[in-house]
Amino acid sequence: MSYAVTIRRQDLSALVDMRGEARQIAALLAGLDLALPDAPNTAAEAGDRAVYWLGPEHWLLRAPIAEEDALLAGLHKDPLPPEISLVLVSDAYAFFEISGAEAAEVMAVASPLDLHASVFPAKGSAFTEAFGLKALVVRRGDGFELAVDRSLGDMTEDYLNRVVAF
Amino acid sequence: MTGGKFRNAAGGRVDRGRPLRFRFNGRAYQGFEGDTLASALLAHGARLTARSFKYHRPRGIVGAGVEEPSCFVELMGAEAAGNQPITTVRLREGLDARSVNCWPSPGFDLLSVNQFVARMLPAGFYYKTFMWPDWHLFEPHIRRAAGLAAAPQSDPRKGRYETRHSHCDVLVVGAGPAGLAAALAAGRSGARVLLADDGPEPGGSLLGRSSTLDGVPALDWVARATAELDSMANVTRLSDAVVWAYREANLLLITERAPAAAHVVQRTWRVRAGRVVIATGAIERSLVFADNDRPGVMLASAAQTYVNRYAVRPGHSAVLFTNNSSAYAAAADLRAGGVEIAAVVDSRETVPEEAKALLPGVEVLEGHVIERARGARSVAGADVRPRAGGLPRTIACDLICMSGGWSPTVHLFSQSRGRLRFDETIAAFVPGEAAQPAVCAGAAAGSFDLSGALADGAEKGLRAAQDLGFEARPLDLPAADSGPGYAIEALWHVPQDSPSAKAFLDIQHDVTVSDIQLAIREGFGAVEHAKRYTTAGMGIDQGKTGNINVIGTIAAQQGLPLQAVGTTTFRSPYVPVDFGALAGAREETVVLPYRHTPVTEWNKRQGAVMYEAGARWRRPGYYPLPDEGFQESVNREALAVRRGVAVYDGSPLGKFEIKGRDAPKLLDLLYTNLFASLKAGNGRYGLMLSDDGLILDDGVTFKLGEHHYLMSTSTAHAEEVYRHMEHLLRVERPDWQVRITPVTSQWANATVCGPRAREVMEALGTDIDLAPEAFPFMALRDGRVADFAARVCRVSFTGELSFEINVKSRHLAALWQRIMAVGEPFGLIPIGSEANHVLRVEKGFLSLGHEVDGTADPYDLGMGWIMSKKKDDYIGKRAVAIRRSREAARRELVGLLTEDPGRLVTEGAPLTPGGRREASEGFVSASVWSVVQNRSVALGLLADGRQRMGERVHVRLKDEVVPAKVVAPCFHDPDGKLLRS
Amino acid sequence: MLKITCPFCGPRNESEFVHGGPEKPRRPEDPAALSDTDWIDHLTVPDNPMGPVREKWWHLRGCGQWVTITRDTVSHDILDEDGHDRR
Repeated sequence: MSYAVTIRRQDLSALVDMRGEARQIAALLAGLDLALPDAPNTAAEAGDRAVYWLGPEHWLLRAPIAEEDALLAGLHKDPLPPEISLVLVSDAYAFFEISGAEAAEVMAVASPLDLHASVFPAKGSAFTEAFGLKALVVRRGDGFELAVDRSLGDMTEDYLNRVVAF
Repeated sequence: MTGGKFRNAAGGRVDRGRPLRFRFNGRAYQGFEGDTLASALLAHGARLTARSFKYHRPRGIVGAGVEEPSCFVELMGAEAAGNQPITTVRLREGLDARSVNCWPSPGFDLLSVNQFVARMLPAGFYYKTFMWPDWHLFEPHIRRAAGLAAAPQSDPRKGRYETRHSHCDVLVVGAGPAGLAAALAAGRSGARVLLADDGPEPGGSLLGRSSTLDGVPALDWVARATAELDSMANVTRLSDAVVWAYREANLLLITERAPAAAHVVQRTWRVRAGRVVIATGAIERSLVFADNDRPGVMLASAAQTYVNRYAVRPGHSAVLFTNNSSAYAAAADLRAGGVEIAAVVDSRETVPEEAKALLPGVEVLEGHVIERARGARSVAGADVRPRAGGLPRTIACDLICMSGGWSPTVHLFSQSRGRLRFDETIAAFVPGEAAQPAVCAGAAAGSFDLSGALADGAEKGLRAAQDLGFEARPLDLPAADSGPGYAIEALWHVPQDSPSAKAFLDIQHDVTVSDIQLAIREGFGAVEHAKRYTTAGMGIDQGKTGNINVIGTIAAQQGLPLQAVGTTTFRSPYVPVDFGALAGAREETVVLPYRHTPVTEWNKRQGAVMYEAGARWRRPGYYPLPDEGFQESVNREALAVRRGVAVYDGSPLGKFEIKGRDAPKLLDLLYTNLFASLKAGNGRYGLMLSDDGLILDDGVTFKLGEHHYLMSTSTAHAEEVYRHMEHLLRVERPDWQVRITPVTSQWANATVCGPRAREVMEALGTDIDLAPEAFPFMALRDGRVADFAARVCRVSFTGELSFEINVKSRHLAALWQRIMAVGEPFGLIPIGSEANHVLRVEKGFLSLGHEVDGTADPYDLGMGWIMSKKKDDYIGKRAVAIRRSREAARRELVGLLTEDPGRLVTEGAPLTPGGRREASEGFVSASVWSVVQNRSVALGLLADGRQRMGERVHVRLKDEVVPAKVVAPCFHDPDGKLLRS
Repeated sequence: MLKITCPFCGPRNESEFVHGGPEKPRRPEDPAALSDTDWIDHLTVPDNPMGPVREKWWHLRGCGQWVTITRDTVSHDILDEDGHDRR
C-alpha cells in the first residue's frame, strides 16, 4: 500500500430512498426516532442509523442490513400517501471505506469535490463524481465512505487498487 | 577532472561530494548532484549538442531553464521520455540521454546536407512543394526527416502516474522573490495556499544571480521564507512542478515531475483556485544577428546562471551583446567567476554610467552591434560594427552572451484570456485587463528590479487573500541593492546586407528574418498568419525567447507599433507534458467504465465469450463448448429456447420506480399508447418517441399499485430515458407530482424461457400460481421463488413462454445456481446475447440500433397500432403526423429471405434497385441463421416494403449482389400463441 | 472544465452535469392548436446567439436538479442572473 490508507469494500447496508415533502418525511422518520439533517448534503445520525440529505425533497436512510425489515416496517404507514416515495435500494449501491491518515489523498485522485474540512464538514454527505462515475461520498471517522452503483463496484475496486498499488 | 575542466573549484549550488555518472550521445561523463544535464555538459566544455530542426545546423545550449530553444534530448532506458529541454533535465546517477533530431550524432549528422540546400527551403516550403497530389503522401517522410524524438518504445515506469484534484484559496505560481512574498502574505492570513515552482529548489531568478537582501545573500531570505511556508499547515508547496495550463473557471494544471511519494513517477494536479498570483518571472530574449545560432551564443542570464548556480564557466572569453543595462550585472558575475569579458557591444548610443561601473576596465562599444558570429561548430569571434553602419572588426571570443531585454512570462495570464498591452518603456508585452481572478506579480508584471518584485508580490498575495475575506497584513520586506537599472532600447534584429545571412528569430524552428520578410511579401503578414506560414513560435519552446523579435520584425517591416501587431495565442502546455501524466491511474482496464451483474463472474468462469453490451455492461455473448464454433454455439443456445428451456441474465435492463398522483399523466405523455387504463398487477408494452417523432425507447411498464409503477427500459437507453423523464417533470411540467427512483441495480433477474419454462419454475418451488389463467402474459406477481422473495414478470423478448424472476441483487448468484441445478434434468442451459439476437429476429421484434435507426417511425415498423388515437397528445404525435403528411415513399420493415437459403448477409448492407450501383432503396437491418426455419433469415427496411411482398430485391455487397425475396417480418409463431402459453 | 453553481450543492465541476441545451419555451399544452410551421419552429429553431445564453444543465452526478445558468458563448464565462460575471 503506497498510501497510509485502508480500503475495504463493505457488506450491504439497509438503504431506503425517500422522496417527499420534508414535513411528511420527518413525520415518518419520527417513528424511528430519527430526524432530518439541518443542512443540504449533510447527515443526521442516531446510533448506527443515518439520514443523508442528498437533494431537494430527497433523503437516503441508512442502517445495518440486519435492520432492513424493521426499517421498512417502521416506515410504512398504510396506505402511504401518493406524494411520498419510499424505495428500498440496499442492493443498488456498493460501499467502500477509505480510512487512515492519507484517506484524503486517495479521495483527491477519485473525486473533484473539495473535501477540505472547512467545506465538507464532519457530517458531510453528498452525491458527486468519483472516477467519472456518480458517487455518494460520506465523511466518516478518519476517512470517507464512497458508494457507487452496485454494477460499477468491481470497476471502482479495480480503480482504487490502482491508485494505491505500488 | 571529475566535475569538468570548466568547473570552478568552489561556489555554486552543486554538491561536489556527490558525483554522478551519466552518458550523453553514448559518451560517459561525470557531474554533481544539483547539476542539470546542460550544466554538467558545459562543465566538460561540450559545445555542439544538437542539430537544428529544418537545416540540421550545429547548435549548442542557449538557455538555462524552460526557455531553452535549441537543445532537446531524449532520455533512454527506464526514464524514457522524448523532447526534454536539456536545461530542465536534472542530473541523476546513470542518466542516459541523446540529442534528438540528428543521426547518428550531432557531430556527424547525415541530414546536415539540408543546410547547403537552405535556399530551397524557404518559408512555406512544405505548403508550396508538397501540394500535389496530396500532402498526406509526403507527410510521413517529412516527419521522419524533420521530426523530433521518437515515442518511447518501452514501458518506462518504475512507479505509476497519478492525477489528482485540488482546491485552494490562493494559487501562487513561481517561488521566486515575488512568488515567495505573495505566498507569505497570503499564507499568514490563514488562506489555503498552494505554491508551485518549476525548479527543484525555491528562489527563481535569485538562484542564478549574486543578489543580496539586507546586505546578506538573497538566498538566505529565500531559505527563511521557505521554512516559514513549510511550517504552515494551510500552505502546500510543490517543487519541480510546472503550472502548464490555465483553463476556464480558474482551473489550472500542474505536473509535478518528482513527487515526494516514491511510488509516483509524475503527478498532475487539477487545481481550482479562488485567486491566482502568477509570479513566473521573465524570460530573456535573444538578439538577432547573422549566425546567432552558433554553439557558444548564449543568453546572458543563462551564462550568469551557469557560473553562479553551477560554478560552470560557459567559455573562456566572452563578448556581451546587449540593448539594456541588466546584462552588465550578468557580465560582472561571469568575470567574478573567471570568464574574461573581451568587450561589451551595446546597441544603445549612450550607456548609463552605473552600468559601465560594474565592469571596470572592460571596453564598452556604445552604439555598436554584432553583425555576425564567427566560427562554424563553435563561436570563434564576433564581427562588430557601429549600429549606423560601417566596416566590421572581429573580436576573438569563444562565447557570445546576448541580452535583447526581458519579456514578462505572461503565458498563463494570456491562457486565462487576460489581455496584453505593449509597454514602450520596457519594450515588452505586459499583463493588461484580466479575464479571470488572476494577477501577475513581480517580473511577470514588468517589475524587473528585486525590491519592486518583492513589494509587488507581497501586495498581490495580500490582496488575493483579502478579496476572499481573509485578514492579511503587509509584510516587512528586506531591502535590496539598487542594480544597474534596465534602460532598454529595443533592437528586434540587426539589419543585414548579405541576402544569404541567416539571422534566426526562432532558433528551434529555423525561422530567419528573411523568412518573415518573405511571408509579409507573400501576404502572410498578420502575426497569426506569419506564425503558420513560417512555423515561428511553434514547437516545444513555443517561441519563449524569440517570439517578441518576430513581432518586432513584422512591426518594423510594416511600420506599425507592436501593440497593433499583437501576439500569437499562448497555448498550453507551457512545457512538454507526458501523456502518462495526463492519464494518471486511468489506463488499461479502467480506461472506460465497465458494469457487472451479480453473475458476470460466474459467466466468465463458465468460459462465456463476454461482450460489452449497451451502457457498458459486460454480458455473455455465447457459451462455447469445447471444440464448438461460434455458429454451433449460437444455434444450440437458440434451439434450447425454442425446443426446451434456457435461462439468461436480464439484469442490465433499465428499471425505474415511478410514484405520484400524476404518474398516469406522465406515462400517457411519454408513451404513444394508453397507460391510464392499466390495472394493478399488469404491464403493458409501450413505445416512447422524442418530440421529433423518432423512437427513443421501448419497454414494459407495470402498475404496482395506486399511483405506483415500475418501468423497464432497454439496457442502452436507460440513462437517456431517465433524463427524458426528469426533464419533462422538472423543466416542462414542474407542477406535476411524480417522483422517480432508479432501481436498475436493486433488482437483478434471471429469465427462464422456453416451452418447458413453467416446469422449471415449478421445480424451483414457488407460491405463485403459474397457471396461464392465474398468471397471464404481461402480468406481474410478487411471491417466493426457490425461497427468495421475488417479483416475477411474464414478458417475452424471445417469443417463447418466459418468466423473468427479479430478486434483490444480493440473491441472484444463489438463485442462478439453483436454476442451473434444478433445470439440469430439463436440459436447461444459459444463453448469451447472440442467441437472444437470433430469437428476436425470428420473431421480428424491433431492436434499437438495428431497425430503430433514428429515421424509422412506428408506422414504418408496422406498429401503427401502438399510436393511440384516443389520446389528444403524446410526445412525438405531432411530428410523426406532420412528417407522414408530407413524404410519399417511406422505408418499411420487411422480412428478407435470400434465394440461397445458406447465405447470410452483412447487417447494414444496402438494398439497391436491381443490385445496381445506384442510390439505395433500403438496407438489411439484421441477418441471422434461423433455427426454426433452418435457413438464413433477415429483416430490412425497404422503400414501400409492405406493398412489395413476394418481390425480388437485391442486397448489394462489395463484390457481389445477393438476391432475396420480400416476406412478412416474422419467421416464427406469427400469432404469438407460444409467448402467451 | 466549467464550475457550475448548483442551488442545492454549491459550486461543482462541469463533469457532474449533463448539458441540457438552451432554455426553450415550455412545451405547449396542446400541440394540435399550433400550426405546422409554429410547431416545427418550436422543435427545431432555438436561438443560437453570440453572447449570453440561458441554458439548462442536469445535475445527474449530484442532487438531480435541473440548473439554469447564463453562459456567454463567446467567453465561455458563466454570468450571474443580472448578467455580471460571477466572481
